[in-house]
Amino acid sequence: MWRPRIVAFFCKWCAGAAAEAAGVSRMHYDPSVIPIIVPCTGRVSPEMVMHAFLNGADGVLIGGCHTPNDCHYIAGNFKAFKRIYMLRKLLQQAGIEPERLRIEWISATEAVKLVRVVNEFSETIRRLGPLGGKHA
Amino acid sequence: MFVCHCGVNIAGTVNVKRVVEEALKMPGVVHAEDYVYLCSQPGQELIARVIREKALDGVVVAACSPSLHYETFAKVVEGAGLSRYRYEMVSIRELDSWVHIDKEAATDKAIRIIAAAVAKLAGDRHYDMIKMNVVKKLLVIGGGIAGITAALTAARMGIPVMLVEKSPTIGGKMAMLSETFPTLDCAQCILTPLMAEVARHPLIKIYTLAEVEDVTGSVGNFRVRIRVRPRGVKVEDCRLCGFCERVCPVQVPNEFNRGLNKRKAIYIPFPQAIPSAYAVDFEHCTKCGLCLKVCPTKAIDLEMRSEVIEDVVGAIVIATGYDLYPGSKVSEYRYGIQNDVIDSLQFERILSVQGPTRGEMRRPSDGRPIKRIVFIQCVGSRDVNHLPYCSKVCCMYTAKHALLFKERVPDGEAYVFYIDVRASGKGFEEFVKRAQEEAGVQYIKGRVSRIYKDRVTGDVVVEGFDLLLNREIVIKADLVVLALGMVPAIDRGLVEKLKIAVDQYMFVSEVHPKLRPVETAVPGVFVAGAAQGPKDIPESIAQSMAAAAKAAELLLRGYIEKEPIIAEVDRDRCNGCRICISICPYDAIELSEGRAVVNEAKCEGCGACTAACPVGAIQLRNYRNEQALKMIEAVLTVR
Amino acid sequence: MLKLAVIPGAICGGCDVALASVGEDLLKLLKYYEIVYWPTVIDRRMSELEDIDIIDVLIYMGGISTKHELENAKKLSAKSRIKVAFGTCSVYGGIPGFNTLYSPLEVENFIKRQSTMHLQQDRFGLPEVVEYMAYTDVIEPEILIPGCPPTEKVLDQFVKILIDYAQSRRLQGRHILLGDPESLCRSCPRKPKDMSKIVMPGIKRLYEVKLDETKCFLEQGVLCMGPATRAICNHSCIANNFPCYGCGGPVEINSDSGLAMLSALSSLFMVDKEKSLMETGLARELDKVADPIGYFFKYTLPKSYLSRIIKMRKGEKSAR
Repeated sequence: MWRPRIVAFFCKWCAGAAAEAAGVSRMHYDPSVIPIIVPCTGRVSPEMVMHAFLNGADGVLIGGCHTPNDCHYIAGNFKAFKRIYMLRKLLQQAGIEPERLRIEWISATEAVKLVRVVNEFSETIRRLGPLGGKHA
Repeated sequence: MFVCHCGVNIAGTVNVKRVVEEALKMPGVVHAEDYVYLCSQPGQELIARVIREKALDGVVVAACSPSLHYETFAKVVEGAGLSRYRYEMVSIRELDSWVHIDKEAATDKAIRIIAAAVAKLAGDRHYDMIKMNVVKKLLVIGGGIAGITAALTAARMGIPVMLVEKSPTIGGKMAMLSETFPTLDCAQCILTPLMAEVARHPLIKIYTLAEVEDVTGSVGNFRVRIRVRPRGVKVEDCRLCGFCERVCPVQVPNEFNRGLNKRKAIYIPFPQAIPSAYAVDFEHCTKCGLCLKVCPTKAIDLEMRSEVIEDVVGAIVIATGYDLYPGSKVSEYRYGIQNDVIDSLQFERILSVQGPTRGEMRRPSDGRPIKRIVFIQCVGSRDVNHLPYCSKVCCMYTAKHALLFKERVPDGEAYVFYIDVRASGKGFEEFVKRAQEEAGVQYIKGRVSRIYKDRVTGDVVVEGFDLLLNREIVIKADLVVLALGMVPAIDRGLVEKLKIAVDQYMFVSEVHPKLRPVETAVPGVFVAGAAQGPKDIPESIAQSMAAAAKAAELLLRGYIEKEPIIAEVDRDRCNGCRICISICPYDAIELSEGRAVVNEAKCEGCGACTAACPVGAIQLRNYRNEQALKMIEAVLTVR
Repeated sequence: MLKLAVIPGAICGGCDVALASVGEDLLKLLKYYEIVYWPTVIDRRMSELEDIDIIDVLIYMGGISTKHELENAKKLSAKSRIKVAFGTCSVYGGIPGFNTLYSPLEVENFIKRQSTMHLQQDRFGLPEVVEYMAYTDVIEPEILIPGCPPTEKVLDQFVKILIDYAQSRRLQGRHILLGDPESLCRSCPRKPKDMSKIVMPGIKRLYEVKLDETKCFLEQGVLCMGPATRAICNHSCIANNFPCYGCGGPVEINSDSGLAMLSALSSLFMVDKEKSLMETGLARELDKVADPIGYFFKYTLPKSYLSRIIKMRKGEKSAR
C-alpha cells in the first residue's frame, strides 16, 4: 500500500524546536514526514527540493521562522520564501502540483501549529497521490 | 552508530534492534550498537571504548534531542581522541518515538533519520576553533546615565573605555531633571558624582562634541573613527569664570532649557557640566573676538578645528538615549504655537532651581504665577496616529510633576488627564496614590480634544472629556504640560554603520526580547537604556550594567573562540559574481582579487550563500551541497 | 586522410552556419580530414556512409526527436572514433528541449494538426516521434561544444583540437567540454571596479529601463544568466547590451544551471526591501517572471532536474 513520502526541512531555531516541543508534549502526528534539520531555511536550495522529488519524495515541507523578524540569521526565511515561490511557479508551469511543496513559518512555541501543518500536509499529499516513478 | 533506548522512551516504540541491523548496512558504518541509557556514565564509557578499540573515525548518536546532550557526547568523543566535528547526533525521541504510535512507521522513520546523519557524517571534516584576538577596549556611544553607567561598570573591571557624546557635556536628559520618582532625589545630586567619577577615572576617556563617523571590522576588532567637533575652548585652561559669556553679543535659544530662555554663543550647558569648561557654538558665533579679549587664561581658540580620532575597540555599547516626540505633530494641543503649552522636560526646567525661572512656578509667556496646571498623559503615545506604543515613564513623572507642583503651590490646582495610570515599579503605586490622595491632584480619566489661549484672560483653555463622569470638561489653566512620547535619539547613519537591527520606531532591536535583552544581532555590539525602548532611570542603569558585563565577557578573556562551522569559498570555482556578498545578512563576505572570501569573524554559518551561489563555489562547512544531497537520497532510498 | 562527418539531428541550421563560418581555417582541416558527409557544404548521400567502416570524427549537430534520428545517431556513433556533440542542442538538448514537457503523442498530434508537415505526409510520411533527447543522452561523446551556436572562441579551440588529433592521433583528455571553466561573471566587462554589492531593484524587462551600458544587468533589474553560464564566448551579447540567455549551458557539465540561477536570482532579488515588501510584495514582483521554464531552462531543459522529474512522472526511465 502506498504511503506518502515527505521530506521536511526544519530550521533548528524555530520549526525544529517546535517539532521537539511537540515531542516533549507527546503530541502525535502523521509519520509520513521525515525531518532533516538545517541551520536556517535559507540553507535550503531549490536543488535540494528537486533532488528530494527525483529520489522519491511525494512532497517537500519547509518549516522556518516567522517573517519579518524571527529568523535567527536575520533574513534567511525571506531567501527561502523567494526561492520556493519561484520553484512553485516552475512546478506549476511544468504540470506538477505546486501543493507538493509547502513552506510554513512555525515558531519554537508553536508545537500545535507544527502538528497541524504536518498532518494537513500529509493528507494533502495522500490526496494528490504519488508523484510518480519507480518509487510509487 | 549508537542507538539509545532511553529506557522505554525510544525502545518502547522504535525497534532498536532492527535499527542496529539496518544501520550496519549503511555505507561506512562498521559498528552499530544499542544501549539502554547512552547519556549515563557506562553509556558514555561504552562509546569511548568502542571508538578506541575499533579506531572509529566518525560517530552517530541516535537518541534524545541534541539540545539536551549534544555537548555531552561531543566531550565523550573528544575525550576518546576523535574530533567533535566527526560526530553527529539526531533525535529519534522528540522527533520520532514520542510523536508516533505506529511502531512500524516509527522504526522506519528512525532508520531514515539515522541514514541521513550517516550520509552527512561522511562529508564532515574536522576544523579548528576560530580564535580571534580581542582588543580590551570598550566604546560607549552616548554619555547619558546609561552610557555613564556602562562606562563606569566596565572601567571598574579594568577595561579602558572611550565614551563618546555628541553634546558638549555628558549627563544626558537626566541632568535636565529636577527630581526623580519615586524617591524625589535631586537628579543632579545623584548624577553629578557619577559624572565626576567618570571624569576622574583613569581608564575612561571622554570625547564630547563627538560622533562616531565610521565603524568597520567585527567583534573583538572594531575599527572606529570618531569626529570631535571643535569646542573653541581649551578645557584644561578654562576656569569657568564666565567673563566670556558676559561680553558675548550673540543670543540663541538655550537647548538645555528646551528653548525657555536664551544662552550665548559661548556657554556652559549647566554649571556641573563635564568636561568642566565652556564651549563655543560655532554655528552662531560671529567671531567678533570680544571673548578673546576678556579671557584671563587665554583658553579660547576660535580657530580650533575638528579632530578625527581613530582607534580599535573590542566591543561597543549603544546608549544613545531618547528624544521627546515632536509635540507640534499633535497639532490640536498647540505645542510650539502657544508658549504656555509645554512638554515634560520643559516643566522639569521650570521646577529646577537652576532653570529659567529659578524654580519659581511662573509660566513662560508672561511670567504669570502658575496656580492652575493641567497635565496631559499619553500625548503621542498609545495613539495609532502617532506612536502606537506606551512610553512607560510618563505616568510616573506626571504624578511627580503634579506632586512637586502642589508642594510648591499648596493652594494650587493640579489636573491630570489620563487613559490609564501605569505605576508598576517598586513604590510606584504608592507614589501615585500619594499624589492623588495626599496632595489632592485631580485625576481625570479622559482625553483632551482641544487647547487654545483665551486672548482676554490669558488662560490656556483645555477642553476634554471626563469618561467616569461621562461629561465634557473645560479647564481654564495657567499652564499645560504635555507628557510627550519617548522616541529613540539614534540616527540612521549610525544604525547603518553598525549594521544593527532596529524596529519600525528606530529602537535598537535586541537579539531576544526575553533571554538576551542587551545584545544586538551584531556580535560585540550591545545596547542599553532608552535606545532599546522606553524605560526609566533604574532600568537604564540595570541594563547598562548588564551590557557592560556582557561586553566584559569577551573583553576580559582576551580572545574569543568561535565555532568554525562557517562558509568557505573554493576560490578556483568562484567567479566574483557578488551574489553571495549581496545577500549575506552579516556582510561577512568580501571580494579579494575578484573572488569571494569569507570573514571568519563575521560569518554565522546560516548557509544562505551556499544555497544561492550559482556555481557552488561557496559552501557551508560540514553542510555542503554534496552532503545535503546525499542526506536527502539516504532518507528516501535507504529502504 | 581521416574521415569527418557532420550529421544533422533536430537542427535549426545555426550550427551549420557557425561551423561553416570558421572560414579559411576549415581549409586547414582539409589537409588532414576528408569530409564524408556535410549536406550544407558538400554533395554526398547518407547512404554512402554505409560503405564506410570507421568514421574518425563524427560531428553531431542538434538534438534527437524522431526514431530515424535516434537510430541514425546510434548507428553512426557506434562506428565513430571521436564523437563530437556540436552545439547546445547536441550537448544539452537546447531550445527544442521544451519538447520534454510533452509526450511523443502530444508532439505527434501537434505535427498532424498544426504544422504543415501533414500536408506532405502522403509523399514523405510523418516522422515517428520519440521522447526528445540530447545527443549526449545516446552516447558519451569525446568532445562537447556548447553554444547556440558555438562561438568563434570555442570553434577556434575545436579546430586546434582537430588538427592536434590528426597529427598525434590522441585526444588530450576525455569528454572535453570546450569553453573556459568559469562563468561569464569572471571577466564580465560590466562588473564594477569597486566590487560593491548588487542591489537588484525588482525585475525589469529590457525595454522598461534606460539601460546603462556600463553597469551590470542585475543591478538594473534586468535578468542575466551570466553568473551560471559557462564562458564559451567573449561576452558577445553582454558587451552589446544584451543580457546573457545562457546558451553556453552550465559551467560544469552536470550542473543544473537553470535551477542554480533560479536560486541565485530569487535570493538576490530585492534583498534590501524584503522586510518592507514582505511576502505579498515580493511575490507580486516575482510574478513578473511569467515564464520561469522558458527563462531559466531555455537551453538546458532536458538535462534539468525538472525534466527528469517529469520523465519519472510519465513513468519512463530517466535518461541519465
